[in-house]
Amino acid sequence: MELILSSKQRLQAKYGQKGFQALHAKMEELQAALSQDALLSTGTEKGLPSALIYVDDETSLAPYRLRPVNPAKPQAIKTLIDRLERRLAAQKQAPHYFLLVGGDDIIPFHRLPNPITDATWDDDGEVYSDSGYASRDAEYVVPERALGRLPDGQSSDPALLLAQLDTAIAGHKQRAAASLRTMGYSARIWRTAANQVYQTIAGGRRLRTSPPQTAVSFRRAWLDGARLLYFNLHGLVDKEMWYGQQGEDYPLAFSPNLVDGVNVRGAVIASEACYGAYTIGKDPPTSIALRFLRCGAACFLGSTCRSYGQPKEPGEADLLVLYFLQYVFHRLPVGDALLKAKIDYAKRQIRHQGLLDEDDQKTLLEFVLYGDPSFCLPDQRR
Amino acid sequence: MPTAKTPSMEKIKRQVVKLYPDMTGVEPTLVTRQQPAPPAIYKKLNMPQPHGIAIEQSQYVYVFKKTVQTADGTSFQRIVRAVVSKEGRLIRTTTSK
Repeated sequence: MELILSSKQRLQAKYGQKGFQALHAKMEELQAALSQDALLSTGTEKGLPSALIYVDDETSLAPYRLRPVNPAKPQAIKTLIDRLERRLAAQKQAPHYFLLVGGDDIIPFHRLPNPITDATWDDDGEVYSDSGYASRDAEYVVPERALGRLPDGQSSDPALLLAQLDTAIAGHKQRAAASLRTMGYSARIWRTAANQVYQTIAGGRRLRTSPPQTAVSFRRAWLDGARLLYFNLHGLVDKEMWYGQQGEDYPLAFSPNLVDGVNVRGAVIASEACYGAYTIGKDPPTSIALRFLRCGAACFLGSTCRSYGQPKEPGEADLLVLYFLQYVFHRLPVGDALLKAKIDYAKRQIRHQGLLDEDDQKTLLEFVLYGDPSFCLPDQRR
Repeated sequence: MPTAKTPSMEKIKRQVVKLYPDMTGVEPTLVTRQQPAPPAIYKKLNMPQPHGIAIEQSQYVYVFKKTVQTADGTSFQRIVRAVVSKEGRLIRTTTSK
């Protein structure tokens, strides 16, 4: 089962009654698409059953004998999800996928204490995370649920959210075989580690680096038709660009407008950039993540905070993204891919280092999945 | 404990600069480490809890920080973290993205 969760009050307040109705109808359309998706069928059950729940709506929760919660409080929403899961499990309908519909001002991120407690090292005061929703207990570093979110921007126009719901619906309808073109782009200084990540999916294709590439020299054709995209560039919290690096040179490497006019429909994008998935107060013109989703990308994996990696061999964000891409490449639904990637990452670091240190914990908390968690890339072999 | 004045610290700085030449001339800061990851994490992973306290007490974390400027004039802080053994051996480094 897929549990689709949102806030009725907050969608109505932001988008008006008309906008809310359009979104509600689209979420019901997604439910219908899920129920028809043969690839998600299990045993004799056709498709994937789903439930649409508004966390702050009495009518929506009545069948589960649960009370609405304050949609401004992530902890209250998490507790509600825990209870819903138990109720559904008791009815032999335990949800496997969890989809949050809306950004931080609809279903807020958990604001978690930064595991790196010394601000002289890392001054991110708190970590914006969906790990609280993805965990069954009070320990959030290692998740247990396959969870994704459809973020919306600042605008009161529901177009961005509607576009993502359309993408999610299409993802469960269009299973036509497609070639799996990939694209990889890294800051030059990290090319050795980045190439190890990229070659797990690239089949020998060349990783592009910045420098020499810049946002001006980057060809849209490299994106056009690619289905699995990997970025390893610098990102800043208040800038819409991503940057390359070689020595003291930090060229503008990628900008939101490069996504315009190219076919990224159904693409899965993984970015290691600091703040690559930071979307609070942003819109498609000011966020590469939102721009990709607005243009039809099915999924964006990125960090809401400052992320870490290594130059010579994959570490931290490199490793997490490597595991995620491998699972997606082998056609696991993206929510399962992130869940397994986080568990693999935690186990690997403990085995390799003897412990899960501060930036490992931060890495696990800060990477969020935008997109329908039950989406998977079409398989040519099917 | 290695300090900025000990030969081992000089060796660490040399090793870090070899990996990150842009950190030349940056003086590292010793940072406070947090408590080890809570036992619940290991339980969830079905793994025995490692001797985290012992490991963390035998390591130090040094941070090299530098303000840099992008091609469009934006400043940001680049961070390199170096995990160092009690004996002054560089165990691993990570860098901010």
